[in-house]
Amino acid sequence: MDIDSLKETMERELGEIKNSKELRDFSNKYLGKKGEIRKIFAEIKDLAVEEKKTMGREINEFVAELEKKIEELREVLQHGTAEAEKVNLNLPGEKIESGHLHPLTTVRREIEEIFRLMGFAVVEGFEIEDEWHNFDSLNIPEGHPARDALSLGKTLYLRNKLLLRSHTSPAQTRYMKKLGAPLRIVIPGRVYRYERTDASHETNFYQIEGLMVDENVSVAELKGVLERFLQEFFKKKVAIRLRPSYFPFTEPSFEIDMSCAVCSGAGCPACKRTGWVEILGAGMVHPRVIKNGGLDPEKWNGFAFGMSIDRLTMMKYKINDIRWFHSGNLKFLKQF
Amino acid sequence: MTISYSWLNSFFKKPLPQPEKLAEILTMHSFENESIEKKKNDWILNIDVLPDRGGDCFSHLGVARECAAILNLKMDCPSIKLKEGKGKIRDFLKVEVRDGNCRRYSARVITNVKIGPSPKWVADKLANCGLNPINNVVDAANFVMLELGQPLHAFDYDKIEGKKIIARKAKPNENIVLLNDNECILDKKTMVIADEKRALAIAGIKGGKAAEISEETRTVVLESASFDPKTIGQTARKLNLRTDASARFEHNLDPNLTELALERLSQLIVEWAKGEVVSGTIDVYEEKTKPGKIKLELSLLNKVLGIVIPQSEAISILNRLGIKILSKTNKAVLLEIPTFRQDLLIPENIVEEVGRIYGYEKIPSILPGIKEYPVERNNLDFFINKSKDVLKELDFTEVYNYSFLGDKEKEKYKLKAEEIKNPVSSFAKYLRPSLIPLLVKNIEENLKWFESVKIFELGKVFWGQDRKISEKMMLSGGISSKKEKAFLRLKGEIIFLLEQLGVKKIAFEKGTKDSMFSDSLDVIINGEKAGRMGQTAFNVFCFELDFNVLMKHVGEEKEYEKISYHPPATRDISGTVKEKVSLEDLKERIKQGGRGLIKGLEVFDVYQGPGIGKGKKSVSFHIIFQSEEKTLDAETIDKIQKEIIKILSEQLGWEERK
Repeated sequence: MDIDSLKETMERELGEIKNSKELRDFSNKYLGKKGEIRKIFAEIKDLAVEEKKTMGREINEFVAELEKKIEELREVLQHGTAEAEKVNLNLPGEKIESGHLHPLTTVRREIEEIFRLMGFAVVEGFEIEDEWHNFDSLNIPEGHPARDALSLGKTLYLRNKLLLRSHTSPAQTRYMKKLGAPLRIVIPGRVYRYERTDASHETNFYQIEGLMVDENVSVAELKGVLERFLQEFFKKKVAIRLRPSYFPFTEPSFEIDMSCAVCSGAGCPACKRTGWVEILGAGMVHPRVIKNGGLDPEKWNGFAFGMSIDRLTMMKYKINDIRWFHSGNLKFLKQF
Repeated sequence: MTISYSWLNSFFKKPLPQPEKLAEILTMHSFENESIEKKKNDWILNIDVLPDRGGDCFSHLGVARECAAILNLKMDCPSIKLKEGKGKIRDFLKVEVRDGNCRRYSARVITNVKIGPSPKWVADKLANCGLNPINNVVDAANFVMLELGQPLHAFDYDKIEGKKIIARKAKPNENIVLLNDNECILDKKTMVIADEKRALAIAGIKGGKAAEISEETRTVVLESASFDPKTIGQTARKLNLRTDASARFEHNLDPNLTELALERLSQLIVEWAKGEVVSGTIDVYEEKTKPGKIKLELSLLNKVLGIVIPQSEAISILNRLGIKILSKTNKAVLLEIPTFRQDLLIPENIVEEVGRIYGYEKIPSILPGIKEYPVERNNLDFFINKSKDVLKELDFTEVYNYSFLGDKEKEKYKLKAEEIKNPVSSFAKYLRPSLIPLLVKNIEENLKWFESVKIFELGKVFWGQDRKISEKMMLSGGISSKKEKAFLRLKGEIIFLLEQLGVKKIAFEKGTKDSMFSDSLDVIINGEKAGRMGQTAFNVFCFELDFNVLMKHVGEEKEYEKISYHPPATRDISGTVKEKVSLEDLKERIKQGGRGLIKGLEVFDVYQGPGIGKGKKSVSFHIIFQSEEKTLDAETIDKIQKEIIKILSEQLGWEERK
């Protein structure tokens, strides 16, 4: 057996190896249990001791060298393979489909969370109400101009003098009766109006009502709560201002403006260049409403406010038409 | 209310702030100003007078009073001196009030008027305020209405039959031709101003043709009256006749205003139409409106407003508003409310008055401290949110639909639905008893643009029950996909959803077919029907879950289950069983026989058809056995498997397939 020629063959074959499989085959062919090297060891078994020793060492050194080379090559081949299969990181990512929550849900949750952190519990009212809760309990008796304005033109009626609540306020007296005082709640929910729909009017929309009843509640606290709410919601410093208003169920009553979130009060088209945006109605609960809630108005007073979740959502996402909310159109809904 | 800036200025010696500035001041202290318009040497403010202030502020005088109170200005109102002529009014006219809804009726007679156009400045002023100039007498009446807020009417004296004015209820079907030539049929709830023969005007709303002022008119009767606001409002609505007069009367005018208005009107007619005032006034005024009294605890101001207003400042504001201090102690004041402020009835009204004039901007923002926390969680809200989140994870998009349905849906699905008495449109005639009809509509619409659609809605549904109409929260959804087995996917998703909500025992039972579901399953939770699911249209599958029922079975308890390090062993069992035996029952029995060693149980095949007996189905299960203590040997597992098959065959008629 000519070891040198074997070495030569092996060097050549090693040089021609192109992939891991060939390398594995090569390794088996020469270094395997039945490989050429073993055969050589078997052949030299019968040689003289001295010669056997020399040959053995020579072969062992060669094998060690070979193993090192194989290892190196394996490294190279593996690396090379990785190179060939390497991902182009610059290709576009896959499109991921997922579900979407309605923007009104998202905004409602945000609102609820802010009020919860300020100590207001979230409760629900009924969508079907009676005239007493929707009107009378709120100091809007029959014959009152506000009753006519709200009931005749704006309220949707069902049989037996039942109606679809035209605001979330009927829940005020319901919860005063149910939970007593002190009380801090928000009541979000769907309300109904008889409306000719357009970009800013809907027959179904969402309000959130707030009610705080305690001893010595003040306008200053109403201002504090609403200012903080708006700051948390719009995530920026906002100023608010109170203007006189009229609601039969609050006295005093306010229209509340906030500094325009778009221009920070400098004046822009969003605020009709006034720097202010009308955002909600509020007031100190009328003593008669406290009484209708089963509480003593001499002891308890409070504030209440109501705002449109739709409007806050439209402001937040710059949605230009309220009718999108009930369109069921996935092109709209999948944006959120 | 349209307000002329120059007119407003005429009430003051010192000029008012510039129009823009004044508008802002009014907005912050009284009423919102909607717009300012420049018109012929004047600015026109469009002021949104609040509904409780229509009684005094549908007039320049009222708004001027507001300016005076806010700016602490003195008003300058010259007194009216009329030169009365000969003749006594009682020789000219009699007035009889037969209807208690006429609170006061004041009248004067002016002779020798010369009807003609008004002075140009008057015509301009009226036009600027949105009224058409007609003639000097009618214009004078309109002018005083805009100035003082009192609606007035002038009749042609010579056309009044019997020289008598009667305020009475209309006769059934009595008719009247109005100034605009429209004919009105009245009923007996309507109040009219009549002579002995016929109605001359609908009281407080509009005058009639019968005694209209014309170019030939020589003698006029001037009416300055006050009517019950409710009656006027109801009549105006019923007749669909809203006028400048009715709008004012509806807002509870001060009956004491009639006198001043009548004097002012007479003065202007003498000035513009050269008439002579007949001596005396007829004034039928049975129950005089007297100033109200309110006792105000001064501490209420600070308590409600949350700011300390100096007592002297509060009292100055009250004085500026025309409210008299009758008596005063350190703690309280007794106030006399002028009759033109019929809206001030309780101490809180006074708090508002002081607060708004003082300036709400001076009130600081204070956050109330939290007394009780954390705030109790609303469980319904929590599980609603959770359901929505899980469905979103499952690729569902949330929709909101109207609570209404039209005839089309009602008929298509043969629904029993509560009717809305005054629907907005024919598409919104009923209250939805189910969310599914509109979800199906949403799906069909969206399939025009999307390959597959998965949507859900959580909202109230409604149904009638005797005298009551009830509402409850439903969770519904629908799916339509080109992929086959959309229904099985949906079924899996419902199980996933319910498991995520902590619902234990979930089962499905064959449901009924109806006009909504062509094929359906009932969803059963702990033996209670919680909803159903099935096919609602071609390749559209829907579900509905009653959230009230769901809430009884949801939970958040979870317990760690030991993870065994001993190897699991899988066995399959297959067999046939009667069609009506549910998979849930089979699973239940398998677990029973499993001696607590079953770690996984899955149905991997259900088949019905040729080769299986009629009314039967073939079912195959994967069962994974695993012990926490030891490696299970084949012998033990064989034994358990036999036991399971025995239970299945004995209790459910299972025939093991060999």
